[in-house]
Amino acid sequence: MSLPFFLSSLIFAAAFFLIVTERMHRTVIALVGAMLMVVVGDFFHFYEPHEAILSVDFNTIGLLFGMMVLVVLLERTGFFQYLGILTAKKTKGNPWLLLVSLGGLTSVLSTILDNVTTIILIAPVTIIIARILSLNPTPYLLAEAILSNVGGAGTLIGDPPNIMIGSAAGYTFNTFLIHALPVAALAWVATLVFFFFFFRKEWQKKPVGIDRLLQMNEREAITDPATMKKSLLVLAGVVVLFFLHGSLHLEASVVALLGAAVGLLLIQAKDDPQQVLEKVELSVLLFFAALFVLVGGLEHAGVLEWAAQFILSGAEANILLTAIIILWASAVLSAIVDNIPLTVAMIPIILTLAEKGVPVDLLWWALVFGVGFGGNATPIGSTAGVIAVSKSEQTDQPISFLYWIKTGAPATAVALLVATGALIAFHFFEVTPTHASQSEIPTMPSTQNHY
Amino acid sequence: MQEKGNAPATHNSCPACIEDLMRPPVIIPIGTTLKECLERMVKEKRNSLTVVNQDGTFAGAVNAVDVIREVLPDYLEEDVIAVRFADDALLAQDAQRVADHPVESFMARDVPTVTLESSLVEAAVLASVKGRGRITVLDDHRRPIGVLTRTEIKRVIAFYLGIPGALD
Repeated sequence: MSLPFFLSSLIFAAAFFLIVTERMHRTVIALVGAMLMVVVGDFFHFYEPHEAILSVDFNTIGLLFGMMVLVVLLERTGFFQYLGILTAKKTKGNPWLLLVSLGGLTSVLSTILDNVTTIILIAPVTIIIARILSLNPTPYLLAEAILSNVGGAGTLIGDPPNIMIGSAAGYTFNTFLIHALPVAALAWVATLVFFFFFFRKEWQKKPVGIDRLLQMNEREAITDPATMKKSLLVLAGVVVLFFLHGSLHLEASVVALLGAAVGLLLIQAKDDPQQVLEKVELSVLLFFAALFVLVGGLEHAGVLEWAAQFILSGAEANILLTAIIILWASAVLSAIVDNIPLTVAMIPIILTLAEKGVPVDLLWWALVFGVGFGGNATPIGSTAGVIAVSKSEQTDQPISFLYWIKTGAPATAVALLVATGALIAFHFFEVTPTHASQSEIPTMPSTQNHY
Repeated sequence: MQEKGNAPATHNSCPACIEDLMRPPVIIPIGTTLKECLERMVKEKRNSLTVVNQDGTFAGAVNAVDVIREVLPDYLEEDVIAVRFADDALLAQDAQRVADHPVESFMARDVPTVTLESSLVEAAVLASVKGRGRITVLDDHRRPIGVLTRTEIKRVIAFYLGIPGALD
């Protein structure tokens, strides 16, 4: 074990520990860790500053930033609340249909937009509707958070780990639609079936106040119809471009940034975009960038190569078993720790295996579903869960830590069983993405520029 | 009283100092419930109350906005769009839910205070910067002895501008 190996591992471990224990803000820790890695790496000649910059996946950062801008433009218009009220009215207050509809709405929105923002905006109208109908809001909040994570695992842009994995693996939006979305859809159905039985007493309740629900005019939620239409138009264009970005050889980040630029042009060309940019989570983007730099230091010190060796023999002997282990292990870890640093750490390991000739497509999907579904097991496993619990605390039925685990853990297990079946099917039916050309086969970021 | 057009008096010779302008505080002890606070506000026809510790020293202040914030759940306050769909029945339920909350859970602690020796200028700045309509006047032992409101400060400014009846 060389000195760079030891030092880089120490820095990463310390940063990771502080991030997961939440003693300090994760962005600050990641930034300090990243700078420390660069300084130490430069001093001991294993990681120079220009290599640190190359380690940052700007495709991921750009895609996140672009989509954040689009969400900010849309959320101000009341569109999310409009959809929430409209959807709820269609159920005429039937408790089970209300869960399916609101859960479905949140999932669908989460496949395109940031699921944290979706939950933040849908949760208040959910609670109001539940209270008007004299229903317990808990099942609805739980379902929305859990199903948003399940849905978000189905597309390239549905959650940040998918963005990073897609960028590293060279998977396009359509690759995720073909491989991940059907699995997410099946997991979604399975999770709903679980909810049906788990909350069966809730479906016996006769809601009151249905007239009050039906009298709600969802159009009152729309604060700015013109901006809403423009935002949706831009979003539609972005989604169409996502379908085509592989064929057009456009990076996903270019599509998102193009959408953000056009959105700002159409909606507030004359105003200072500062008020929009203030709501973009720059802290999150900085966190991502710092993590990439941290992990880049591990890569240059040979730590990831060493870690990959552990998996290599297993992967060569039985790739399916290795994938299933990655699925469940990353799910368990995601339930406890932030899945972003976990994903950032796993990506270079899988890329190293790819360089050694291991067919890693199954491992990528295992990671997608593991980090995507695993966070539902505990209330701290995903930001959507944290928000749902926080909103519930001001109702008469706050969601306790234990109650979430009683619901979320089995729901997660159900989704993971579906994912396990999918991996088996992928393996035996050889359902793997094809890369259009040799140059699209992924390599480590430091050796190939993805941007 | 100064004549119109003369230079404003310094606080050492002001026509109405804090002691002259302040009103007696309505005092409640720590532990008072939200419902009890509202009962006092309604009975005394006041929108703010002064909260004291067991030993009579100043602990904080609570006004009508503090009460409203305590009643309203955060998820309504944070979403001005969703709140359009909440009705009065929900407000009644939320009020019931927090009726027993002790005042120390929703009172303001970082409240501007002055003493009898402070100037009105200082009081005016505090009222402006801190954004609270009432400034508590404390004695040397940090016990509340009066409340200065924006009304009083407004009247002094009106006096300095020569508006008749400002300090009547």
